[in-house]
Amino acid sequence: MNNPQYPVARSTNLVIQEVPNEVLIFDIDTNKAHCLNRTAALVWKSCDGKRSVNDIAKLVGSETGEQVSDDLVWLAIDQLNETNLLEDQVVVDLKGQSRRDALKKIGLASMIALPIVASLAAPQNALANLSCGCTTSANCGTNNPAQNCPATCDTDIGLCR
Amino acid sequence: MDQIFEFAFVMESFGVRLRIESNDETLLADAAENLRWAFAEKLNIYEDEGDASLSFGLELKGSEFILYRDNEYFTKGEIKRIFLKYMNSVVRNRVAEFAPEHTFIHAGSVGWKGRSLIFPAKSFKGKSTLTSELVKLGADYYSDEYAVIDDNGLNHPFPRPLSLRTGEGKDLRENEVPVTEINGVAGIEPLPIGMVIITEYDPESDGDLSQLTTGEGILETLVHTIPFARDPKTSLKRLKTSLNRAIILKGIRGDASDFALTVLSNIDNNLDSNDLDESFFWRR
Repeated sequence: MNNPQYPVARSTNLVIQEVPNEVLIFDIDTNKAHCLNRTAALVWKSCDGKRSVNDIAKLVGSETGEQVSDDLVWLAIDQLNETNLLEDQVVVDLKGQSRRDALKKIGLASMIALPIVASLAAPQNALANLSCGCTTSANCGTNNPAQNCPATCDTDIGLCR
Repeated sequence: MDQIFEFAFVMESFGVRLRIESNDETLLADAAENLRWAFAEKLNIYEDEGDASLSFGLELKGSEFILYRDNEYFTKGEIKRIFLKYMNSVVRNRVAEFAPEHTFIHAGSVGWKGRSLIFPAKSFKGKSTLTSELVKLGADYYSDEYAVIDDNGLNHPFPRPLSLRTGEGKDLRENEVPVTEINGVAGIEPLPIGMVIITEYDPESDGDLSQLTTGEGILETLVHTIPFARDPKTSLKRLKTSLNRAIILKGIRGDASDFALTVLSNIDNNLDSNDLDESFFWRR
């Protein structure tokens, strides 16, 4: 277990693609894709196991040219925890505040964007996008490889509905 | 992949070779005709070759038609026309999954003023309807099924006949309509992607779209990216290259013909500014 004050960004089983001001990460283990905004990405990239939360706040501050609080870093780490993007889960220290209160307080005080990690489940196979068609009533609904396929088959037109 | 039925041909599309085989020569000939129709000019058929790493088997057994994919049972049907139509969509999906030089996104796609517009969506979300409305307004038809992107981020045409559904409930019908029947023209040249529109149809809505960042847009689009599960690295790389300079919008749209007109008008009014009319699109 790493020291929770020195978080480590996960590096295995991830496919990473950087775009301007954002980082896209596909987690092979969970089949989820994540988009980190600039703030979340800066925090994540700074989690090397050697920097404390306070060090990370200073580093993100120097990258953005703005004052960055430990609380803002904790908010990012909270989301990185939830999305399994850290090597080990870190106990988040928001000093007794709820996440909502912390968001409100930091949001008002911060000159940089709040950290955001947006996530979506990736398709599990190529058939997930197959049109929902049918050849008999036996291959509609859950028997059809297409997602959200209705249970009834109209064999006149070859569509489930 | 061993051949299990007597009659076969090999088809090639976008660098993917598939063997189509059957125990019935007539069924195989019908399958070839069906595939030629759907793949338009994006298909080569080699009748004297049988070697391919992927295969589909079509078995006629009594009154049943049975489909095998890579020698494993896939589905069956009783009406030949419906069976072949479904076989065709599964074959297209296979090409979309394995094309080595291209990444297929489940999306409608048109060309307009040197850029392509794509509309990633699941089935029954109005891709074909929106595509046909844009084509009726003069956009070049690229596809109502797949945007096909390459390493340079260019979108290639996949101009199968449009699959247009009419009616509702019991009256729902699906027709395969060549683009020329709606007075449209199929695009030929690969184009950079200028706009991505991720919408769902709501008949009560006047249109409520917000602009996504590039990263958010890629996240939303990868859900519709056919080979993503097999090759996430290449898929993400090509998505980045192709969407890097695109305007990406997400939200609810109303009537397809009104929406199509609004989209093209907004693009025309803002061609040089790379920005959209604030009166229609809420931007952040």
